[in-house]
Amino acid sequence: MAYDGAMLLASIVLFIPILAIAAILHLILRKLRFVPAARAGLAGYALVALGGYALLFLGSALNLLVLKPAHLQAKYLGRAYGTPLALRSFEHSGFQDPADEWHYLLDETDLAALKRSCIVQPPVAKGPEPCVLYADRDERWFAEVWLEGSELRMIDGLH
Amino acid sequence: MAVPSRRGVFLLLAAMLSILSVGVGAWLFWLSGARHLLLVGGLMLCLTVLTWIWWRRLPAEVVAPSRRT
Repeated sequence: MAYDGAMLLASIVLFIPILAIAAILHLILRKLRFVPAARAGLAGYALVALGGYALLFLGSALNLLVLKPAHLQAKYLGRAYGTPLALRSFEHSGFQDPADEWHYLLDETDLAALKRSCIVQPPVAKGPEPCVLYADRDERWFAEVWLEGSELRMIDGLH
Repeated sequence: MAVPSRRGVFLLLAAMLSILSVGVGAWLFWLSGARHLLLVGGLMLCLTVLTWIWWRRLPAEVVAPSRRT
């Protein structure tokens, strides 16, 4: 839900620029006769403006679901074990201190390879504890990558 | 095969973008419950269909003389 809120805020902030760019693009398209003139062209303008919002949201989704987690996994684990198709859950939280959390379902080979590099090995007697693969923080930022069952979980954000 | 008019090309691109938005929006909704992309994609798809119905009733666009030959 926080992701919807963040995108609503971005939509409000970018309302005027998107409408302005859509107006310029609409004029060009009308000149090239891709959209009709007069009243019928209004629908074309609305489509161009909605297309701008769709591109903004698609770009954000591509960044948050594909590019950013792949980059962070490569940085924290050496390579991207979790692929977009293995993504099972994503959560964006926080407003001024945003954080993103990804859950990936891993295959047995990758799971076994990652289990060998746990920082905290699960103690046998105390029951299941998460196998932490990476954890770091400073006064503003934090990140953690861990295994839970057959899932690779990663969180990265500000605090 | 019929060559689409310029309006047709515009509507085709709008339909493709809206279908892509609906698809990615549905994935995003399944992953996180976020509805914004699904909503914009669905709205754009509806508007594309309505615009296509509206523009179909308009007189055909005038073809430039250089393109007619």
